[in-house]
Amino acid sequence: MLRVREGDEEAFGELVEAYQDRVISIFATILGSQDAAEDLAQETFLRVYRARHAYEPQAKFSTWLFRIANNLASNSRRSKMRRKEVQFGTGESGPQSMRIPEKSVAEKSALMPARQLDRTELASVIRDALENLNDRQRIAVLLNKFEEMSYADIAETLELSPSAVKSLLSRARENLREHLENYLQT
Amino acid sequence: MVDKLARLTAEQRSNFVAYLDGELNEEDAQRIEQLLAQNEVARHDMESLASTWEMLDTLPRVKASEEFAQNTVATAKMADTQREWTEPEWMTEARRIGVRAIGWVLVMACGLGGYLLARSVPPTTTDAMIENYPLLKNFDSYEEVGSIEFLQKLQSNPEWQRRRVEFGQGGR
Repeated sequence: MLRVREGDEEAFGELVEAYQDRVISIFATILGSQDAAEDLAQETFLRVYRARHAYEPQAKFSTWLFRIANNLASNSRRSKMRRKEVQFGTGESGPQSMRIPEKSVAEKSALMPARQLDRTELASVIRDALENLNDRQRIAVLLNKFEEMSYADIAETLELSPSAVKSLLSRARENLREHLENYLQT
Repeated sequence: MVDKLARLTAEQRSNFVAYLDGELNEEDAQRIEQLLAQNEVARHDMESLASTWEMLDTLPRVKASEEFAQNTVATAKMADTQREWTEPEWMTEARRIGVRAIGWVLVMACGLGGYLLARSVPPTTTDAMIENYPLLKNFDSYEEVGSIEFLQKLQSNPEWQRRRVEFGQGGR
């Protein structure tokens, strides 16, 4: 990143290549779409690039990068929810527009406990369970699980204290267990 | 003697996750290990937390598309180039000052225009009366004289001027 700050364009390319899969994976888990994940990941790297002259190597680069990613993910989810509210508001006007939402894989599978889930279905169930977490819990879980970040690093990324991260993760994993324990045998 | 099936406290549960993550200090970790050795509920709890955590490995890890890095670097460069093509800072400042100056000139022009417009409007009867007040005040006397030529001659007469000063009449 220091090379990027000094204007080394090649270094920026190397930086993107080094972190792209990790950032896209986090976004893909949150958003459930690779295209949307790549769009947000690109915006994350562009923000890094735009802010390169102001970069101070006081903290780890990865915590800075994931802090930007976290902000973008939260904004994206908020605007997605607003869009849903608007659609719901406009769709309420007539009885013909009412539609029973399709059951999620988790709900469908709960009706068939004996059925063995395949890997894709199980991933969908886990994604549903992650959906039940709040934004902070979700990103903390993903950083903890897939980035193997310490509580101190997660705290820095989310701008929280390490003790707050400890209780955040404890609640999150308790919540995940509640949603997933029926599938532990599968 | 510790109850093998004793319920866990909120703090113990909270420490379980930190224990699994290796985030507890030595003392707290030992306390958890002791609890696990003695309490079946704790063991079951810890086991299910760990298993649930392992389930997350099922989530597919996504790989970036081949052109992602190339596109991102190109977009960043393009955005940089666009910024370079836009005007430099001094020009922005000069434009800002220019706009302000034009604003002030317009305000002053409007003021001057208003003043000239007000002047070009014909005076009202009241304005005329105020302007000609000294004449109107003595109108009856002037009418008695009956001749403007006489009054003009009188005004230009030095003796009349001297007398007026003496009597303290500065007006017309």
